[in-house]
Amino acid sequence: MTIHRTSNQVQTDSMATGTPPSDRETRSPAADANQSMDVRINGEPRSIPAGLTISDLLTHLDVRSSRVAVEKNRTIVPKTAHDKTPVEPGDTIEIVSFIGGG
Amino acid sequence: MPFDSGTNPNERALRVGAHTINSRLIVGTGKYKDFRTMRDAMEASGADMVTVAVRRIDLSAQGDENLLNWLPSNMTLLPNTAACFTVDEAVRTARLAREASMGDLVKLEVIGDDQTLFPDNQLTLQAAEILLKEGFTVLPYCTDDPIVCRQLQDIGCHAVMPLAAPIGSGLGIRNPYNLRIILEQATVPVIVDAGVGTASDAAVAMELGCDAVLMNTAIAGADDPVRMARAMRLAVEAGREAYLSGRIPMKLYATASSPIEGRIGV
Repeated sequence: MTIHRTSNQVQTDSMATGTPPSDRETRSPAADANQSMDVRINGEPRSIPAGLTISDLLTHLDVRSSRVAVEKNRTIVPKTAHDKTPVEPGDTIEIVSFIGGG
Repeated sequence: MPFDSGTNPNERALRVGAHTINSRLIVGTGKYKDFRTMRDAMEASGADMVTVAVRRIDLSAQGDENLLNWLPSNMTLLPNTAACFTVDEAVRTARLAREASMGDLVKLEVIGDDQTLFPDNQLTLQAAEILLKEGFTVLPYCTDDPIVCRQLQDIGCHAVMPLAAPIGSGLGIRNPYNLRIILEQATVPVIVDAGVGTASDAAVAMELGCDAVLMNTAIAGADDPVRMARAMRLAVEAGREAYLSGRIPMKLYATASSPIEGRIGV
């Protein structure tokens, strides 16, 4: 059972365990601004490393369930295309899953 | 398995499109105080189909505390489009649900009013048409209006799910006569969705001949949800058995159960 973690801890953990993408590991702490980009994820503005695919983004956000659906600019990105689809500056991303409902 | 044997189609498991549902009690997963209670209630209900809602994931709280980890793996997911007020929202939500669930089932809800949560039947028909073209198995939530139910059935919906009373109201089967008309003309399963408050309501729906009952609040909101889930399972089974038994007609006057002949002192 994984305990509840904040997003800051998540980033620290995934870097410590050496998960991809590789560009994150090679980046110095003083990474310059053009190595990150601004996107909107689930309605919130967010700055994320540049060059991520949808798969990378899910890893970056510590989304581990396979039962999620991702929209990029209102178009669904099928699971089979997650590792081929880049996240680009200004993208609006929605990541949804299931919760309790009637 | 009382519903899975026999050659009479009435006795078999419920079929919705290409899907087979063994339990005629379909339950929602919302409003439980914790996942453990929800899981225990699911088990007590005997349900093998559950409704779920589609929402943005909480990016600050990822981990194993995920609804799906608490559902048995053989449970069929029926994602809903709850809280959608437009055709566009409902269709978009259904498409996301299909991508996430890897299944084609959708409980289509297009809500017309946020106080009564009554469905907008016109928009529901429009959304259903789009989803049916895209290959979804569509179970629409609608009012207990025989005309709307027939229209939904005619465009190809795989079931109709008339409300018995407003969602979460617990008012019970408010219009059994409409349900009877809906049932008379139905060529697809009729599933009462919403309004059930206690076990007798579920039994009444099944005695009328409904194919299944879908409920959430009646179980999740009870003081003891696990016990109520069991009560609902028994009520749905009892109601179904009573329906299949062919009840006696109602009469105004008495008919003696004991014979007149052989009485003493006559």
